[in-house]
Amino acid sequence: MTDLFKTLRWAAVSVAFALLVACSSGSDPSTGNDDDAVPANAFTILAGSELKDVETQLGDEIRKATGIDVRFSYAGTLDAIDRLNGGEQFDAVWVSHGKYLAMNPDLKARIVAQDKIMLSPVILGVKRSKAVALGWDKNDPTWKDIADAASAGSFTFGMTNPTSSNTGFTAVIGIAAALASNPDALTEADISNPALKAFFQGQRMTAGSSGWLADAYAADPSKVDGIINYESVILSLNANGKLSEPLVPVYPKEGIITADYPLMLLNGGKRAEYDRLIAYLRSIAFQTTLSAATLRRPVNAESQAAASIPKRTLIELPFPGQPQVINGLLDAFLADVRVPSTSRYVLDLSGSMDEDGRIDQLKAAMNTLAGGDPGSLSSRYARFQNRERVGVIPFNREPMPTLLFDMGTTAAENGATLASIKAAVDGMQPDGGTAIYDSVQRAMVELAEAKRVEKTPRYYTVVLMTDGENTDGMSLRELLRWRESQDDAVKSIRVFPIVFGNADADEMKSLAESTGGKAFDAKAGSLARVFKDIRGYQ
Amino acid sequence: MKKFLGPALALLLLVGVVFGIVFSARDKQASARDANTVAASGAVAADGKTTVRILTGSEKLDFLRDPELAKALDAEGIVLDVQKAGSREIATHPDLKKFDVAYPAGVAAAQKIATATGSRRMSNSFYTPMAVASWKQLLPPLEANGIVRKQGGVYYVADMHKLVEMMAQGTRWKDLQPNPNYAVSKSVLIGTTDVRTSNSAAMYLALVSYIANGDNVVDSDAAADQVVDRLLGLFSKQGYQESSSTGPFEDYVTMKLGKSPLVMVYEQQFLQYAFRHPSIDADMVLLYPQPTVLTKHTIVALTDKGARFAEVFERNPEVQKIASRYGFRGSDNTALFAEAKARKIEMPQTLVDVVDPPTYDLLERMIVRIESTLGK
Repeated sequence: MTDLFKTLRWAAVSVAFALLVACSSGSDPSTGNDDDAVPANAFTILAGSELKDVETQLGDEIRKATGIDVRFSYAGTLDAIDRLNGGEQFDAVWVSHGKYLAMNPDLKARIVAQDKIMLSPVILGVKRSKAVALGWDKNDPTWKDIADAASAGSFTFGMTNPTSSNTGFTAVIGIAAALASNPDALTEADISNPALKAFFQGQRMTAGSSGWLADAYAADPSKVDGIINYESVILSLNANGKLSEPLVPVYPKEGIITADYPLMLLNGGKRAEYDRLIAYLRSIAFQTTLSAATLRRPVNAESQAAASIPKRTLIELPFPGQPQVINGLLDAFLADVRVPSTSRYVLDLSGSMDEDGRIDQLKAAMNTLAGGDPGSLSSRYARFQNRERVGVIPFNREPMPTLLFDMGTTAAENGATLASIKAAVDGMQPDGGTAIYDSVQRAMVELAEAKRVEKTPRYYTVVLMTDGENTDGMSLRELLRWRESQDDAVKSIRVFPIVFGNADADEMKSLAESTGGKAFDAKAGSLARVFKDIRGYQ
Repeated sequence: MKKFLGPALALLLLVGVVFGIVFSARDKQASARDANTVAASGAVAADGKTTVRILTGSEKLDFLRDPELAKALDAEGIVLDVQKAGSREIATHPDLKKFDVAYPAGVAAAQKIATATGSRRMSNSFYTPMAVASWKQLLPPLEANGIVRKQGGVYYVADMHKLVEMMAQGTRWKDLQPNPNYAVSKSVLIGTTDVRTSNSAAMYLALVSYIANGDNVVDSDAAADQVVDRLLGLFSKQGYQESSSTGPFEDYVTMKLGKSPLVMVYEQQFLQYAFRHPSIDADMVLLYPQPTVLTKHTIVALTDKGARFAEVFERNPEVQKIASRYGFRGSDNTALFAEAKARKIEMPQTLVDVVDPPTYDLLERMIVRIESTLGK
């Protein structure tokens, strides 16, 4: 890493914090909660998306027992930090891992109280036959053993993107600590450890959320040998009978990092409700129920852990105490360590994009990915990264020529490429018809061609943004039929469609499901946020 | 210049009492005004009870919310509204003005609050020694290497020098033999809270600085800087630290040996936990460092209502009885020792080897120096 690059990174961090502080001081109540009005006596919680299972299974029970009208909104960890710093008001925030959030100086000052609710270590779930072959079912491997197997090609895995999901985030920090020459808290010197890169050579699947990763693995377990996820998710996968072969929970010898799910009170005025909620959530009886329902470990030592949770000593790795070490680690992961991404952004420039300022939203969203919004943490990590290859296919009645952008491998190349992406997006003009599937087909053909000749692993994804129905070229059915006749290079490409404007939500969902992707809805929220969410899957 | 507990403590208490008397008289007029505004704002309830708002270090939260304590105070016309914060965070707590009493652990934290608020009404009736919560699985390597020794049923960290040395050098548990139960590559480290915000970590610093300074209380800027530089690893290697002392103890209880082989705690925290959980993990063991430091829980009255609370708290014998159920030591420990005996917990009745923390300024200087290394 060059000194210039370091300096730039530091400048970015300082600017980011300065802006965060500036934003939050002028909080605007009108930007409050999502959709419908929340009654004043409700207790609002901004929760990590992995906590949806708690609300689904036990939300009513909690509301009934405490008499508190608990309302959940969901966000990823970094996104939660952005939203709170952006002035959104919640009574409490509940994430799987609160340490990074509590390091944000502005948020730290707003935390009135915090209590841990449950525990789940982030571990490795390995397909039984593979675990037996590697001997990991009998003896815990070290992280080094796993890194060796990964770089030798004998072990592949899926993991979430560390900038959009806590399991990936925790895993990167834990693995970096475990592989460092000194297993104690990381320092900035440990970030460029080559063993870390060796480890991630084995990653073949990425995702924006732990739940989606688990679902994608269950849908097609042949893609990887295992996944990094919460112990609770791995045990749940085994319990729900969807897998043909169970996952062996593997606890690497040097240790793991455990999510401890702190519920943090932000609104001092709701102290009484918070205390009541905590007393209930941490009660012996509820903790036993919670563990049985979610397969997480109780924090109340007198409660019963679910029977399927292994009784063993979990060696805990230290978590870094300095935010700059974590930021540096995330930067290095994205820039140099991770399997890089090759993508096509298939963007609708039909005449209807002129309506309701849609084209401006699209330009703003692309501009965010081109590094145009360094003030927010999530935008900073969502921007196109070192080594990434991006293609933009604008379309109306037919696909236009593909614009190729290679981020290169130096800070100077990165900067120049981002500038040319911005310039290209700025000049876009909406006009004409809508040939959605001809354009998606072109994207898939181009990516498959690239994939066939590429020697090192990369992720290949298509992002489709359209605001209307298909009016020109092939239909969705024709596209999918064509796809079926193609080789694995084509079939392995996931498509992430965004439903915008008057797009056909059913077709977009069907396209996503057929290709192993995920459809996103930008009708309600901002297009830029959806673009950032999709970055987790690339 | 090792100090002896008896005279030092007596002197300190005497100074405290004199301060209390002198300054409460002086503050009388000024706070009569406060009392009026408070009454106007309706804090004295219709039934004549006074609501006293307390911001306490987290270690006393359960004690102060005890229903029997509430009953005893109710008889005196006092109702408590208790909230918690890291003891060293209280002085800068954004809502400190809304409280009648700040009740941090430690005289130094109390002084910081007194300076911040201009209050001079401080008193302390309870104290607790610092101890190390650990696990029986770790006794073989610790005893074989002469670090821990059992004496009269109590486990003492007899060789603090050796332990501090090992921690500073980065010895791993697997390097410490014989070690049948915990041969892991984690470093031997005592886990603490965040020294920047919490008193228990500051007391730990007070203790290890004494050891690293050749069994002398750090008494100069030069000694402070030199000692801290040698001890940085003890803090930086811990990584992220919780800002309040219940965090590490809760980890000790719930995540056990894997997360927390050695944790710096208040003796009181451990006793409170053991008294309230009849079936505690039989592998839990409390180690008493030789020497140790005491934490004095210090009431800083911020309003007249707070002063009234402080007076009642010290005078009412029922309060001392309830405090002992939470593991606090005070002027009469008969009930405390009886309770421990009933639970088969071995605790030393007298602590002969006790050192004083450095002055507030020197402790602060060391903390700032650590802070500048750890980052913000």
